[in-house]
Amino acid sequence: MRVLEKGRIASSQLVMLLVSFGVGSVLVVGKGAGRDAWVAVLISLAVAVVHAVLLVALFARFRGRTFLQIIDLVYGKYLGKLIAIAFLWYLFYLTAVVFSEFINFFKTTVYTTTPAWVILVVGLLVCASAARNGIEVLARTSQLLLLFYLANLVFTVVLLVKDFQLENFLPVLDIGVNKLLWVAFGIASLPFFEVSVFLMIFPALNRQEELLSTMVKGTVFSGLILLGLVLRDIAILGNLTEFFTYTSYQVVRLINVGKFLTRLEILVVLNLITMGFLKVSLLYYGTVLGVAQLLRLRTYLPLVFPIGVLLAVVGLNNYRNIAENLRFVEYWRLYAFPFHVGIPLVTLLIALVRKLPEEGAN
Amino acid sequence: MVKFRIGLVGLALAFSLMLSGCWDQRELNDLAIVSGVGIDLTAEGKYQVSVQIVKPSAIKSDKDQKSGGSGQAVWVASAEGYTPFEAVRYLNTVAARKPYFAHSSVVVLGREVAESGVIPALDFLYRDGEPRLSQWLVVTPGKAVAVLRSEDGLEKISAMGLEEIVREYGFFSQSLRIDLNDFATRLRSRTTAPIATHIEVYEDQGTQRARIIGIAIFKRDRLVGTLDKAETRGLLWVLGQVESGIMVVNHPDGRVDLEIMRAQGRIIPEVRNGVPQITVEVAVFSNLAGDSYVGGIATPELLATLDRKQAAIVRNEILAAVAKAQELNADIFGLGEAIYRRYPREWSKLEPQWETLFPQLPLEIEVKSQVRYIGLTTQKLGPS
Repeated sequence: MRVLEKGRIASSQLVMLLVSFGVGSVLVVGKGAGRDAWVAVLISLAVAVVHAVLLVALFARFRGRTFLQIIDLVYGKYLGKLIAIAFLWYLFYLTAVVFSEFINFFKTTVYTTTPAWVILVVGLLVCASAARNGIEVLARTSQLLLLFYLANLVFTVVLLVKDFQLENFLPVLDIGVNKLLWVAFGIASLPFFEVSVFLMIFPALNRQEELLSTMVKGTVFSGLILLGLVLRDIAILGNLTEFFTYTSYQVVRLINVGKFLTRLEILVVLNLITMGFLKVSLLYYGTVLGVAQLLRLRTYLPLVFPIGVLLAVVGLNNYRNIAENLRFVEYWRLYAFPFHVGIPLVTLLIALVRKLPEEGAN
Repeated sequence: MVKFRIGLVGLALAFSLMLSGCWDQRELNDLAIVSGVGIDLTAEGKYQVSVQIVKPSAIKSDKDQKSGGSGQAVWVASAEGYTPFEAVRYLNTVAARKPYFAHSSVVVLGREVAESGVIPALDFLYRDGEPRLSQWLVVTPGKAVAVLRSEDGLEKISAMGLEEIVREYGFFSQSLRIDLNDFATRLRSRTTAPIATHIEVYEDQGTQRARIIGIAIFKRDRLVGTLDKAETRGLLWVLGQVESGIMVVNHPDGRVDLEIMRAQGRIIPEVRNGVPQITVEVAVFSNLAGDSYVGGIATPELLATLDRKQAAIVRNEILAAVAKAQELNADIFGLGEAIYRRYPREWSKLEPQWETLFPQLPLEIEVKSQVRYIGLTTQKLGPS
């Protein structure tokens, strides 16, 4: 199989990509656990680190091969193709789902009368351009945008500190264990396990020996940011965290410093635009790269446009309304589990049992 | 290739002509900027929504006429509908511009709508993206529209004047500011009773003005009673929300003013053998601010007496508020939540009986009172 991506990224860039990817979710997070959502985040973060180690273990075992090559090697020609198609379907569908979630958010908050297809087409064009430019450009963009995101985030948190009500956290853990684990499972599935798309990106890392520490760092950083967000939201909203559709957006709407610094919710929208762009572009890029590898193309560039059209169609028609979106998110953890945990885990187990790759096969 | 590139640049420039602004732009002259919202219930059970709309031209014209005067730069429009949002859209049967709610600073509820339940009246304000949740919620014993029509002596937009009166409750601390977010927090609690600022309209030399008269108490989402100003301060002591204000201490020979400088309040719940007990700890620090007491030389003995009398006033105000709340069976203090936070296990048994527990809940009040400073004079005004 030819090398489709010649770009190389540094470890620090991969960390930033991981963080951008992790925080770029609209429907953050922990709905259902109320004031104990932060515990669910901590649990899911621990699980996410294990998952990250799993991905690295799988990849490191077949050093130098792409994920689709690994699948081919482990499952054989025919079954391998089938599993590769399933994984690529997951990536493609995830891209469309994430994109349509962002559109729902924008339609609800700021672009209420702009037709969805306009937001979608304009957004997809930008993401397509990013995907065409490859991983190096994406990594550099994330360096820039993440800085902006963090500054923005710190700014809003600082302005809200005076309104924190710490008694909102009491009583701690007055919630059933099952419920807590279900919510933690949800947070793990969205966004943490979604880093499975990085299986397509690992080969681009210029220092492969740093892969493990990079993955763990990126996962932990993005987890800590999510934890901070959840803590902030609970400290401000208390029993209203479940009441609002978009909790973070609502929290920042409440900023009021001296009657002067108010109406800052556009900052949240900006942050979600930048991080959403990075997340969708990464998923988009992973999808087209994977399809190109599956079809043994020399380059993935001709795939960007047709897959973009498919993304637009699926993205626009995936949900008929936002209630379907919210219901879907409830079950996404079950739907996605076989793809982002199942396939890598089973592949690694089979490789261990069959002692793949065989010596000298490289 | 060069021609192709030039063509592309030309295309991009052509696009920039079409994409010259936001899709859903609304210019200022198409908007009716709403400064305050009022919701009433009509006799036939419809919602009457009134909005106070800012008249930009009337604000500007003030610079021309030097006298200024009390002319209000607003127009109050009303419309009816079976739901509040229907009424909002019918506002456009009288107003040509679309009401823009993002700058509204106060939501007024008339008595009828408050008594019949406010959830159906308020939901659209939370659901819609335009109205802010930082708007104050106020209740009036009359019609909400009358509050919007009332005039303010300082502000040309009376809703902004009202907004400031509600916000600066701390000068006298016998009212409380409750915005839509606070109200929802109380409404979503299973035991805490929602409250809102209570406002009345009165006549002042031929003009209608609005003033604060205390606090309105809800049970679930229905108005059930009110606290007068002294009782309201009793509530504020417990909540730790007293900022400043004057306490008048009666003395056999005259009255003494104490200015509250700092106050703290804390609810300490305790559950013993499944029986809840509440201790309220209040600390108040004040200064001697005015003295018509004839023998008024500020001695340590006098200040010690004032300490005791101040503590007695605070205690009485709290007791009055508690008595009213227990009579209405409305947990305005959030005692249930306080118990739940500290004793989540015991609470699961207490919660089902909270309705019967709360009216007889024993409250212990501990007041720490101190009069510290006496101002710039040490002796009374007059011959010693």
